[in-house]
Amino acid sequence: MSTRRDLRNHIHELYQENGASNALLQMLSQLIPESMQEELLQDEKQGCPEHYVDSLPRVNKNKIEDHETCSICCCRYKEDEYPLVVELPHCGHCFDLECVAVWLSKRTTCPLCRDDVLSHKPKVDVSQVEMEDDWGMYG
Amino acid sequence: MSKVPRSFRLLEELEKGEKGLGPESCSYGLADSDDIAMVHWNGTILGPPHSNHENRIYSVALECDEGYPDQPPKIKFLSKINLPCVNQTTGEVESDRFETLKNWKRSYTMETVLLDLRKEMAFPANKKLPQPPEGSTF
Amino acid sequence: MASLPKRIIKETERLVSDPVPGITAIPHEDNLRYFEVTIEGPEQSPYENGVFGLELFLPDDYPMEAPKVRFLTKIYHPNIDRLGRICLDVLKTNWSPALQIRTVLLSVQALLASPNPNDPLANDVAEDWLQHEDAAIAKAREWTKLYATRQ
Repeated sequence: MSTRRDLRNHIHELYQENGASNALLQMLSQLIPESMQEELLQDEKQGCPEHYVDSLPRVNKNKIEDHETCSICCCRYKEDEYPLVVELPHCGHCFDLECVAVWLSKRTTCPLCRDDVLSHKPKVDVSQVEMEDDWGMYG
Repeated sequence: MSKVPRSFRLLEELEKGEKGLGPESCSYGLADSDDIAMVHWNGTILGPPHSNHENRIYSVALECDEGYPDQPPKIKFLSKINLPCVNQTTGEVESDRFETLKNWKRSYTMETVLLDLRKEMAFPANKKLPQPPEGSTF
Repeated sequence: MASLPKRIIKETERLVSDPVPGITAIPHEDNLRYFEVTIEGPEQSPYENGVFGLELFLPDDYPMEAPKVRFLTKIYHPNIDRLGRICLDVLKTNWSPALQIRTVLLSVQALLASPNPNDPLANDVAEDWLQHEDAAIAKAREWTKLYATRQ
């Protein structure tokens, strides 16, 4: 992934440098699909790291109501015999893992409340840090 | 892949043209910025280097009617040019003599047409063809 | 053509069975991702009594990507340009996959009720709006009568 980004930046620099390399890029760009040509010229928005999505807490099937639907695919979770539903830790909004994973690979916001899912540190960590601080002060 | 309707396809092309995201060797835009149907377009092609077209800028008029992009656009040179696929009386690009129009694909754009015409100018058999005086028009 | 995602089928069905007041959206028979849309101008706005035609297309990546929407009826509005393109955050950076065709069209209708000349797409209209608001609103009303009258 990072090498690809480097390559893109490199080509981007070449593109802005002078006319000669510009001509080269034109020729190159005709060899690749249009969607990727765009990518060469625009900085893409980065989503959440993969491990964030993998670490999202699963919702137990027993806790899912029959009528509850995923607001991304608009289907009832229980239409699937083994629904894979996750909860975003900071806002508690739930989605099919499959659906929200695609979105979070592009963006870092909750589809329902638009909260930045990466801006919240897990609470557990914070309390531990504070405890250590206290220990330092009195110890 | 779903089929992008004509108007949204043309809006994509317009945006690319407006933002100058395409190559520098050609440009294109709406002839009339009020034309909600987006039929008439203007384009330019920068003559390819190492040919008799070097440093020349050719103006063309494109017409994307209802059939576009299932059907190719009509394209006509406004600047005079000597090229086998260009009708020497009207400036029209004759589709049976220009591969890109002849074997049109829906994925082709106006940019494809302009760049392929530029390749046509640089083609070994065409690049040294005598050219009319610069600036003359059909 | 690839099969239509379930979500698009559900949305389309609901647009018919439970339509939004003042809004219609009907898919083209030969392209079920392409909708013919009408929006009634909101009451108490310069667009009142007008019916505006729009077109809407759901790209391949929908709902991960916003629908594409454009006015087909001429309209005098600081956030809608001469080609009918709309400057609306939910259609661009603020898109969310939890939004739907109906919510997007409601946002467009809301934009008619509250034009925002400080975030313009049509610069000449926005300038007019900021400098001579009364005249701009009168012109919007006039255009509504001229171009958006129910047939």
